Amino acid sequence: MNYQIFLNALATSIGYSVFSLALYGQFTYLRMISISLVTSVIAGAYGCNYAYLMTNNPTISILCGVICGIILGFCGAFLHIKIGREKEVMGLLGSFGYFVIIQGLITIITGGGIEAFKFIPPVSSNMLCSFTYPEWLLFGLIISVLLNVLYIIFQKFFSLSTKAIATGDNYELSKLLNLNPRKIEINIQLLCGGIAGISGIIIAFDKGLHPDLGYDIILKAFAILIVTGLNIYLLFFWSFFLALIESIATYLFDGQIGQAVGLSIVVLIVLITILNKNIQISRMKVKLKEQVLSV
Amino acid sequence: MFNYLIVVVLFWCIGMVLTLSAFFVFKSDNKFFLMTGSIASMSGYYFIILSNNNVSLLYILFSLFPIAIILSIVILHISRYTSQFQFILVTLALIEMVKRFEFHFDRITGGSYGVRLSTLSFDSIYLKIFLILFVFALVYFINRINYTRIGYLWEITGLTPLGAQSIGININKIFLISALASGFFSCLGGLIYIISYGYLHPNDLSNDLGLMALSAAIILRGRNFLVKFTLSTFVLFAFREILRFADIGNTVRFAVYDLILGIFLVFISIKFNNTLIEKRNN
Repeated sequence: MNYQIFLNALATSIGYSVFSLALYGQFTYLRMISISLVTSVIAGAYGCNYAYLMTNNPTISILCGVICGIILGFCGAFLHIKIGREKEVMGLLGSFGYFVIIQGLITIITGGGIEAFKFIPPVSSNMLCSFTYPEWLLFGLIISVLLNVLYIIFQKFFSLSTKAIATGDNYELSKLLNLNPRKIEINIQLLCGGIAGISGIIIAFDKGLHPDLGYDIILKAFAILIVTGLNIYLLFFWSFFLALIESIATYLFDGQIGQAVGLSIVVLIVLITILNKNIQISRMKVKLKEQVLSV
Repeated sequence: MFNYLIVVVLFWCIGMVLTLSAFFVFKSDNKFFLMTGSIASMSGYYFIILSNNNVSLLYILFSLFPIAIILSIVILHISRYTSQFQFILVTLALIEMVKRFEFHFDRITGGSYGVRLSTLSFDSIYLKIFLILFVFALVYFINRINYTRIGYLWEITGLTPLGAQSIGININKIFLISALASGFFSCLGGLIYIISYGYLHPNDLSNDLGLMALSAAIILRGRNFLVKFTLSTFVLFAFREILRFADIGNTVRFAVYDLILGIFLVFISIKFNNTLIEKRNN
């Protein structure tokens, strides 16, 4: 049974860590936290599923899922350009509105029911499709690690990365430096949308397909991001840790109350992290004030 | 037809009250208070449980309002130590937590079946009409307060807390009053819901109602309070209730709510950006 807890936690954490990576990219480059990426997750999962139903080809369906994610990422980028960078909180609210619109449209198109993710059928001659659950976990884990490594390489060695950081830090100044901030912003959103699309495929395998998929992941991905901070190397560890807490709570408490208890513990951890960081910042401010007064 | 109209107007009134709850916090503290729907839902369950156990109405009311008010003060205490961004995330998490507990404590809340008010003493048309008139009077009263000295102090505190402090306003007192008022209105929203429907499901008063109330509250800043208030709450709440009687499936109905709310939110955020750009250009 204990083995099952770890396996469940691992299955959940893989999808969450990949989505958190997309959010992390958006935050580190564009200095914004947006809910619009969640639409890429839903679109990626549904796109992959429907492509598989039509073509019966896993490679095409994965590609289709990623492309759907990228398209929604582009729409999100367009929305953020319209909303503007003046009010971050308004951006959050606007992106939430965008997410709600996409969710409503997907509900209308698909009928809103809970579906099994048909991308991996039980019997198939294809190598990808003949994976069993633990093997799929290993496959997902490899994808997750690979994406993390690719992201770090992108961060260290690509010029777009430096340009994007410059744009995120100072939008007006990057215009003066003859960069095209709008283009850079769109590129980063496309990249993050693609990663979110992949995470959608992984999450849908674990949780199945339903239009409320986004609500399940928003909070946990943000929780992971807040607890992780800026250290990308700890992203997977924290996502596994938070998923493990939920998994243990579900196992220990009777029935579905465990889910609520697990979420409460996660919220508590996030709250403590936030308050701790805020207290540290306020202490630093007080110290600085004292130093200035003594001078 | 008359009953149908009453139900629609009552839901509109619930929306108005929840919007007032979000508006009080937004105007005084500049914070996006999303928990109005959750507090209303909790107070609704509390009301149903006690009244089903034949506890007197007076006792319920006396115990219900302080609980909601204490709850909102605790939440606003969290808001003092978090930034606006963090506060939104924390409240979103708390809403989800409350909703899950409501879903899974099915012995108390009925879980996914919901819980029904067994006493029929509140099923009176006169009570409903009284509530509607009370809410409309309340909105008119708050509109009048906006143009008094207290209203201006309240607005200044929200716009520049430091500026307000420097001219001798006790901003903590204003935050506290706003928190009390916000808790009271959220709780009132829950009560009106129970009295008008006699049934509560965890999905009925949840995060989307809080979001709708907040998005209506953001628009209210500035002039033409009454016009903005009436129009925004009608589009977001009354229209939602009108759709309930349209012959479309539940799934499509919820999806249409989502579309309305989403378009409204995107509209608000783009409009605010344009206003900021205009101000900068001027």
